[in-house]
Amino acid sequence: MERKPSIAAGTTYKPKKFISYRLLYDVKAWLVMLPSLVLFFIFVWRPLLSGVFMSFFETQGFTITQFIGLRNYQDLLADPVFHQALWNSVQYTLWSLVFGFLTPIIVALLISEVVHANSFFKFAAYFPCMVPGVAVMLMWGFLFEPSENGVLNVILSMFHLGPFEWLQDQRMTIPLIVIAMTWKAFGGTMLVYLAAIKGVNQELYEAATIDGAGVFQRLWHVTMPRIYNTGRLLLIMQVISVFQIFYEPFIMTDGGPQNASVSLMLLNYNYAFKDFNTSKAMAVGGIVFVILMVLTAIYLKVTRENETE
Amino acid sequence: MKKRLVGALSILLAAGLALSGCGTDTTGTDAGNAEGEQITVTVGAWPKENNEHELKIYEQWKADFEADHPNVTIVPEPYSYDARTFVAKAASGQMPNYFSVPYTEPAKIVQAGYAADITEQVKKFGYDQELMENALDICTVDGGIYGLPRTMYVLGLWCNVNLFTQAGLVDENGVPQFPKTWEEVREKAAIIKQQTGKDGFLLPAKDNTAGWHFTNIAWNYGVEFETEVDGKWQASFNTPECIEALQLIKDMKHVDDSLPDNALLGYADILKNFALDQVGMVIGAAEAPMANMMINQYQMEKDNISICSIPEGPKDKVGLMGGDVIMFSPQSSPAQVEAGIEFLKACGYSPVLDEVAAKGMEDQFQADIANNNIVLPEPMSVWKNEERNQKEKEIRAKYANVKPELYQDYYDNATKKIKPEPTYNSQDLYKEFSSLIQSILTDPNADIPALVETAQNTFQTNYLDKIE
Repeated sequence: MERKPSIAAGTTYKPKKFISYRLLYDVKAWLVMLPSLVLFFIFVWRPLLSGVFMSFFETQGFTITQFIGLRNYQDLLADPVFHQALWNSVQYTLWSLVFGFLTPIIVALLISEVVHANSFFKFAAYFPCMVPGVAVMLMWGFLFEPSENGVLNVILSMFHLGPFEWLQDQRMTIPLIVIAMTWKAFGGTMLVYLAAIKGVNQELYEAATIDGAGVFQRLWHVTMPRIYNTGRLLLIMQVISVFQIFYEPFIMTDGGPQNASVSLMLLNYNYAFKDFNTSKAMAVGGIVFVILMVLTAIYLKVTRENETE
Repeated sequence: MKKRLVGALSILLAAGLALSGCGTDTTGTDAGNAEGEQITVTVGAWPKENNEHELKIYEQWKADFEADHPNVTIVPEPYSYDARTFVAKAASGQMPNYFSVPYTEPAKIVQAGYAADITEQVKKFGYDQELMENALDICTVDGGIYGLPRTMYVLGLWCNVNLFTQAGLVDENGVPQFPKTWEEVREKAAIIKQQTGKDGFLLPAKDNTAGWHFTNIAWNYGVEFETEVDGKWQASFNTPECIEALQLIKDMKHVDDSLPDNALLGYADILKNFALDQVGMVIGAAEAPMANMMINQYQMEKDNISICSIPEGPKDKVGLMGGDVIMFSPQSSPAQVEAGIEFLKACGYSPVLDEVAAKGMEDQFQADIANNNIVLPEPMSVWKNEERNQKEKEIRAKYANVKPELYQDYYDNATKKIKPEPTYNSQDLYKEFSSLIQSILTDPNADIPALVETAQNTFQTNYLDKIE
């Protein structure tokens, strides 16, 4: 016997059909997302969660042997090398803002003003992004050779400068690695800024010119406000990405001299793959995870603000 | 809507857990240990396609072995030990049944549970009685044997013949005047720098190599790195002897300028710099693989390589032992381990050089010569059996292709007193010292006593205090 829905007086009747359509609509959406979500779960979320979980245990290889609570975290917090790695990661991030944040904006502005050979300059700026990262770091390693026969030292000696110690001068190690990183990566970011600049309505420039604005005034009052939101997002993404720096110091200095360039992720790698100390590596990962969660929260807030605007 | 979202995520979690292999047991595959049952042994470090001569010999060994042992199948696996990939392969149970690792690695591999306990099989073959005790100790943890030491060497000092000749440091036969003490190393390094403009000595501090090499220098100054006091292990290197040994390095770098400007050189740079006549002396051993890399990768002349025993310090003259160890993956069954040890014999690894083992050895030397590799005149054997070692020496004499006088000092003196690596956390100790040496090499005002004190405290707190 078919049941009919009982309708209380004063309530609105929702036809069954409507619910089915909504459900069907959602299922389709879930099906589209399913492969990505499964892959995300397998390759990102589960390793992340199991990593944090393992950091509370003693491990033999990747096998959990004994619960040790916060001992790995306590050991890390008492280890001066960890303090150094944490401070270095912050320094990498700060130096990357000094060198890496303005460079793509300036280059994008310059390229947007170039009329002839515009494509060539775009390609030239993007070219380092296409070179494998390891090769780039090896190349910069050669350039920074500290002997008198090092490439940069030879060039500078023509101007009666140097020789410099480059990477093995503890004060210069991180800024120099960041310069190499910036050279490698600024092209991609530059293209994003270039697209934002190209999207600015030309009439605004014309109006500003009629109002008597010069080049810098047009830049400041027309261009900059239009790329401000892009810049804000890219800034936060850069902070999150540089905080996880790994292969650049790994190749150029292996964290030296005297841990002057060791980063948190390099420390994580050393624990996991050199010392086979999995749970301690996971504890480093756990701490990086918390720091990045905070940064990501900021990123999401900024994104939401952008969407609202 | 929220309920559906939770439901969908639960399904995803379940699917993900299933697909990502949660709780997969990678241990305990037993490829047939019953008598007569088919056994498959995966053999690591198999020669690659581009190494034709050696590949041909390995294939022949495989064919002969399988003919003699019809129930065993040898599966080649070109994987060679690499710290960067080892953990991932081992943790996922993908290591070949047997693989080779350097002497520096067994302790941590055993601790991580990535090697099988093969005590029973080693005893069955009687190898526990036949192998040199100090070599077997490298593979022994808490009384269990986890590997077979295959080759052995003792650290000495490589001397670049071209640079010694240019610096006028050779005798009438063109053989380098080998330094007898560390003070002589300093003097000769300074002369090489003065006469040739090239570096006299190299201590690569980018990785753990500097720490490893320095251990051997420091022993000869009378340093003991770890000492057992009332059942507890103590770091014991904060001593005037250690400071004196480090002062030697500092003086060579900042007073004599006989070390490279670049303090961030690694192990690979030893080979490159020495092979390309950029450095006069480096710590190394009379072992063919290193020399072969220099000869074949950097076109170094065979007769440009010479070696002497480790120079004497104020307190001692002792060389650090090294070599390679064969280990078995924990998934290997006893039958696979036994078959693997049998196959090693066919490759020439045996305490008795019977017909099969002798043929394996001769095959290897023939392949070496075809590959432009060196064959050294003397065995540096892991076996105690003198008769066997004499036989190996006779076989080597047929194939040796280096000038004996360039190696004589090493063979006469290097093995008189040898020592294994420090007992606990040797790699961590090397890391600590490499970092310390980086400071000394990059800072002319480095305060050595303060650095040593910090290193000792760090090593004690971070490692030795945790030994249970």
